[in-house]
Amino acid sequence: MSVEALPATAAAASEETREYHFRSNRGARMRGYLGLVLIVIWGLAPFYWMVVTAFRQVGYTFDTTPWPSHVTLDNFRTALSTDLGNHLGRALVNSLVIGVFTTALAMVVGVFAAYGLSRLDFPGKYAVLGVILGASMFPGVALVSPLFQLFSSLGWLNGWNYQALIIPNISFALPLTVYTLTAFFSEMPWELEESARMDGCTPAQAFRRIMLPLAAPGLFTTAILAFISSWNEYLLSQQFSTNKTTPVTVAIANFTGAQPHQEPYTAVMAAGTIVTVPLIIMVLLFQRAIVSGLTAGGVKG
Amino acid sequence: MRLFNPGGGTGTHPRARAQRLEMLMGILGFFAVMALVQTVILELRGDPAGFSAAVLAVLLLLLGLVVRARRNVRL
Repeated sequence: MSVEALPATAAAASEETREYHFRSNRGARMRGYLGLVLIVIWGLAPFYWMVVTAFRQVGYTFDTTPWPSHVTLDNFRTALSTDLGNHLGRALVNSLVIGVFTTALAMVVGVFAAYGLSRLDFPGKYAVLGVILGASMFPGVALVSPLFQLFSSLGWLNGWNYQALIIPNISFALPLTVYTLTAFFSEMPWELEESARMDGCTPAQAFRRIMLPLAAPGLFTTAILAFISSWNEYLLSQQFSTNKTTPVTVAIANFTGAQPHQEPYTAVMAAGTIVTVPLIIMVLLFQRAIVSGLTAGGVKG
Repeated sequence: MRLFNPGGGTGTHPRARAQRLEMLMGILGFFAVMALVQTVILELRGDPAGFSAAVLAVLLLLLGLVVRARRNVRL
């Protein structure tokens, strides 16, 4: 082998190696995309079927055509109509009221608790986090009977008593809020707060003017998660809601059809579609904040 | 504190071990308090409380073991 031939051979080998890596990378990338497509199909298939059934005529409820067929808007009219005793519109307002109050209260309490847990160093700090985790593990169904007795004796199970739904919801939203925000706050650079203190801020001012604005993505994410958990809550709402405070989950479960003992599947699917829309809009609006907030707590600083 | 960071909290460093044990203490402590409240109420009402007391005993035993393990961790 001549001396001139060596670089050419090396270049050819390098080209082959690059081509091999490119192919194997492309194969891995294709497999990755295929996996992602499967996950998306798996996740969206029930939602897609709900939407397709929502737009289908009642006579074709159990039609298995995988794309929209016999399209009609009657199911949405039925879902929003009050002729059959269904009050989806009022239930949407009720769910919104319950969700907003639950989220606001859980956030107010959770922000301070999480800030203290991540900032202060005291003995048993992780035991407190363990207690919070334990509280979130507590089965909701175990709370139904005692809370029913308590709220019944307080006279909260009639009229416009939203607190009978908001207070139990907070007990589930608060551990989620504290846990998520603790992880988020612990990743924040404390030098910023110390700089603010050096510049003359009180601890409260440093928290309000420096740390809170920086924690906005995490706060948004946590608030949305708390709102979604409250919006989707069914078990306790089924027991503690009244005719006036019924949230959407209970309202849809109680949907009645035109005939006795007839389950109005298409109207239920239409109501489900209507109920999902506010969540989708909210997630799309705050998409960037949600993604940055979700990743911020898990990235090593 | 790396609650959602798998690399941060699952190591063999004594501090990570102490944190995990403290969290376990908190979880077991919470359920032990719940079991204690239930046992006391059942006893005061005169209802059968054997199973509840047994659950409380198991939880307290586990809690004791975790507390001892935590004390043995030297930071």
